[in-house]
Amino acid sequence: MRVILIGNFAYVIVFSVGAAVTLFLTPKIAKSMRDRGIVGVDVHKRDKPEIPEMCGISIIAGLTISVLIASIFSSFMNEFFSFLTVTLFAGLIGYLDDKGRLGPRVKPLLTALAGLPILILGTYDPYPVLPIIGRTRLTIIYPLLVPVAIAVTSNAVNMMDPLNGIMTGSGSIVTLTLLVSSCLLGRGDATFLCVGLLGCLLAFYYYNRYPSRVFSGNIGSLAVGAAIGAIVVIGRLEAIGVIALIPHIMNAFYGLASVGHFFERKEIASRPIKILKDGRLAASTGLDAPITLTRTILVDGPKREKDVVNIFFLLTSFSSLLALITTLIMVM
Amino acid sequence: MNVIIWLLLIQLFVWLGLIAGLWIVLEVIMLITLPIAGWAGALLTGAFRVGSSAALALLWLWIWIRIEYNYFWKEIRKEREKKD
Repeated sequence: MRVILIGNFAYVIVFSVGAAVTLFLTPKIAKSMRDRGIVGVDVHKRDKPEIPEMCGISIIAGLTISVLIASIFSSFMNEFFSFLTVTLFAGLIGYLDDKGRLGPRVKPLLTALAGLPILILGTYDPYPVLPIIGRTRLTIIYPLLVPVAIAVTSNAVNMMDPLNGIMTGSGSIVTLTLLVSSCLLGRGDATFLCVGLLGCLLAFYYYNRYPSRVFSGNIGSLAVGAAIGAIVVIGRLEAIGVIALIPHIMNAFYGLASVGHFFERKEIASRPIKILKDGRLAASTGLDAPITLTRTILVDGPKREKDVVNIFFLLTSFSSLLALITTLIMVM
Repeated sequence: MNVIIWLLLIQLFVWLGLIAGLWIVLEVIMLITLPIAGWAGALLTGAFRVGSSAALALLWLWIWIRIEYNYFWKEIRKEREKKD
């Protein structure tokens, strides 16, 4: 009983520290970014407000401190160090992208390299447990898939940041799903990491939700995506992670399939969505605009931005439900 | 069809396809051995397993994107007709 209480206390501390650091730092970083002129235009509002960019630094700071606190309560030092290195590496790539635009082909390659600490520190298990099938042996192919997993999750989360609060809100839902799954499957390392990340994401969502007062920037979204990818690999939650991220994968897959190659938003001539005079969003009817999940959501008629955001959350909640059913199949 | 229901059904299709695909690859394709002896047989069996697994994955992705495109462009056509 005492051990359980101490364990729960540790989770509460890790969650609270991550949330408190992010809550405290975000407005300060936002002010600093605004003073330096590092702002992005919220293109989906009629008055085009300027919002401080790159505030996702606070998520990285909160996550780093919460994981350091978590290491006091547990013995997963190697796993935590590997997780932090991957997240910080992806954050650095995001910083470089925010500062100078890395290009649509360089970014996936660099984010794949961010997965190397997991391979170097050996914090992966090449015997993943899959639903229905059970434990499988993938000793040759698994190490090759680790960098791919980090590249896919970080870029899919990065691409899933089209409207206010979607990245942090859907990221929170996915992290909560991974948290519940890690508890059910008894993956202690992943439980601590999910608790820390969830605290930071919920705190950041408070500022990032519609109408946004801060933008996370690529630094925030790539770091969050890489963090989710690292949790999935380190915590051996591969199938659950893929299923929870189905809306993110759909969004990235539709974009890539319709354009035919990796692309940056700025290089697209025809935008996938447009703003009507009454402020609602509508799908572009142009043939050359990329098909994205936002455009698909708007395909049956114009909607308010807040409604589109809520549909995104509904889709992520549904994929999370499927992921939890998958977890239950694995437990049985 | 309402776009929300449509997207939920697509997610269900992706989920079922993923689980069924994993089962077919790991429990069926990976157990197939070509009746050729020696190192050539082992090489061909390996190539067959990787090739057929990749083909299955590509087929799944192709069906997925075709379903999406059909629905998406049908709705876009409806919107255009409404405007006209």
